[in-house]
Amino acid sequence: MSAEKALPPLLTQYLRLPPEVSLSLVTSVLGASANWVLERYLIAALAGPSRHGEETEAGAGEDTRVVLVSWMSNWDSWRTEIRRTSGLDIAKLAQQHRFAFVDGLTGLLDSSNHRVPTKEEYSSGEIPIKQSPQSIRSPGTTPTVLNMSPIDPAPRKQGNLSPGPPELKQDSRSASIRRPVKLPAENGRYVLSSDSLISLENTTLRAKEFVTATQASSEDSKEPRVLLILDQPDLLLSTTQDPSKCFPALLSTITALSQLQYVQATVVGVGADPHLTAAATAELDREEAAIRAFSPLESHHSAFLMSLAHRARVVFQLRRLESGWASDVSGVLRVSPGGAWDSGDEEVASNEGVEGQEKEMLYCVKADGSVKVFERGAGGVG
Amino acid sequence: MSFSKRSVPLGRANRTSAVSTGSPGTSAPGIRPSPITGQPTTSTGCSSLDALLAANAGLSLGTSLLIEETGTTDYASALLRCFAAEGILQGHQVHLVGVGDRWGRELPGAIGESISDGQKQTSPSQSDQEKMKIAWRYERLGSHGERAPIPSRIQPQPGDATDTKDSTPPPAEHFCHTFDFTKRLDFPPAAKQINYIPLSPTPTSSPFDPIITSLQSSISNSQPDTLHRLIIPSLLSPAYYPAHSPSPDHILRFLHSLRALLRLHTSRLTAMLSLPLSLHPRSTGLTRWIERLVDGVAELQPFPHTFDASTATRPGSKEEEKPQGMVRVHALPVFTERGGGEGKGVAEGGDDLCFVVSRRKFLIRAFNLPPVEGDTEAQGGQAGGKDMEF
Repeated sequence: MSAEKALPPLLTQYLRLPPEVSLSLVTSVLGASANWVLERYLIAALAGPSRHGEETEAGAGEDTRVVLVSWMSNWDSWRTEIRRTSGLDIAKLAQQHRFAFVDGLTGLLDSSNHRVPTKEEYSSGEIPIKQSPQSIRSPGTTPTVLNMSPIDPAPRKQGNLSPGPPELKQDSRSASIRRPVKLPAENGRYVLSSDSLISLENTTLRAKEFVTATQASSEDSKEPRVLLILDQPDLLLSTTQDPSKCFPALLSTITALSQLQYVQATVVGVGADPHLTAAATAELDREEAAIRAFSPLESHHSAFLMSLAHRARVVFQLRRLESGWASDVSGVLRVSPGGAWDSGDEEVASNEGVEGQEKEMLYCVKADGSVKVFERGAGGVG
Repeated sequence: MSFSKRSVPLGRANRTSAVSTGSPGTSAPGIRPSPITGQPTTSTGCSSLDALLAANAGLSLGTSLLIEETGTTDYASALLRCFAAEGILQGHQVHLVGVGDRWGRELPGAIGESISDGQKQTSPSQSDQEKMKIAWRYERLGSHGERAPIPSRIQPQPGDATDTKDSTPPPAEHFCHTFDFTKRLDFPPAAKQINYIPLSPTPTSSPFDPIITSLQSSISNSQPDTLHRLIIPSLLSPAYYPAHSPSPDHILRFLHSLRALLRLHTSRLTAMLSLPLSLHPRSTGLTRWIERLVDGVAELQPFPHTFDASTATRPGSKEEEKPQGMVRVHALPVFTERGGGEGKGVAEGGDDLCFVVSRRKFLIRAFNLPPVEGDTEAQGGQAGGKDMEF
């Protein structure tokens, strides 16, 4: 199947790269995976008119590159799936410096045996819990930073980290020299060696530099545009020992990453099962809140999700059909403007034909990987 | 549409090339390609569960399946025991987490296992042999009718069953055994011993650490064509697990690592877990995260105690077919991750699936209410009336 055919017509307007830096949120629930939406974003960016920069369409010369950070799947699964659904080979694209992959799944395995600090270590004062105002994200990372130390002492220099992109860049460059890479960087595949946010920042930055590296040598004067896809970063929040510290840190890390140079758009896929978000909606329903206390996992997950939704320009919500299983409908897709959608967007939207209002559609992922997106009651169309 | 259909075998080719490192191929014992996706699958030891798993006709290699169970019953362990016994009969390396070797000794025996094994020893008595032969034939009938379209499965002729020593079928030709819960499994001489993985009792470290370590070393030290099955019965049950194991940074980290292992060794490892829901109901965020980190989720909902003496005393009667509970499939391996809903296995029963545990099988089938006693008469009367009219 060709890449163009893999994109459902009703979605193409949303999958297009937005004109300014923005964040999109894709939420999924159990049984309604967001993988296909993230894949469509990726396919739309990589198979668009910018292929080889030779085609003479509206977007000619604009070079879109993709950095995919995934905590739930590894390189092989993504490669198989993308090739199956669109015919694109991400290995080939990585050779062309158009795609880079950061593996947040398998790299954490090696450190799994010694990454949980003991309580004594945690309270022994070895870890600076409140060091400086700007080290707000370091507490969330400290448990794993500590355990990384036998491998690499570099991330200990927390003082250098501040949310601003320039400093971040410097820090990561110095770190990238020291940090051993498991895979040769030439193939565009990176592995997160720990679940610390510093590691995430540095590795993502290096992946981003990998996809923008060819720009200097290219005669093309246009700046490359990078689409950053984060596949379920909420995993970091769920596996951390102290979600109350990891939550703001993770949020600021994502914000920092989305504001890196050349990064045009960031797509974040997050789980939004009702059980995980119940804490956010419970305030409306006092009774429920009174009945059960929410675990830190639940309350921070919902807070994380709400924060992202407020920062996002567009929110995709995937859920299952309420009426149960159906052979021709996989689930419901709801597109709504997020908190960062402002009136300026409305003008752009009207120019582009994007409606700035909520829209609910049905989708069906078929066995061959194609997706049909259609309005309710229009099962045969699209 | 015909063009897009053709992309399925293409995808299969890609898949096999992508995972070819150390892949045993489909010739390894107990593995066959899924007729739909072409991914290599292995049997769960329960043929109706195999059929349910996204029409993959088995559990795809490199995936995990979580069996949840409400209430205080432990029907899930029957499935897990079948999964373990199937692995042993196929010569897979079975890893058992948390429970002692008593669990491992109580695996159900296969019906006709010695014949299918190809290394049959002389049976103790003539009647035993006769019984096995009959069972073997019945079983072959069932599997043949079910799996007829798969060309790679070469079924022996009926006559072969009598002289197994000459036919020498490879052990792989038996994809799914039928188990008798009243028997105990005889370990075939070629079978690998169960690897019992104890949990770490130290309160300061994750209780799950030894599992990943043991699995990693076992996989790297074994032959590249050895398949590994990880079985985790009653996850987080206080009977086996220390009190700090439900902490998200232990259990979720472990499941994430397990997911990584499954993805790394996508042609060599499968896992099956069971989770009692009474302590960790599905409405909690923790359980939802556990469900997100595994590939397939099925929930057993036993009916509130319909067991009466009559069902126990008459095993051969119709009463035995009465379902013990409902099965809800929340996620299917591979299909759910792709976002799809076109699971043929689910399609057959819709959402209404039930399970029947009897002496010799664990059956998952479509649920339909039995006719009410007085109603059969009415139905018969109706049918008769129609006959009269036309």
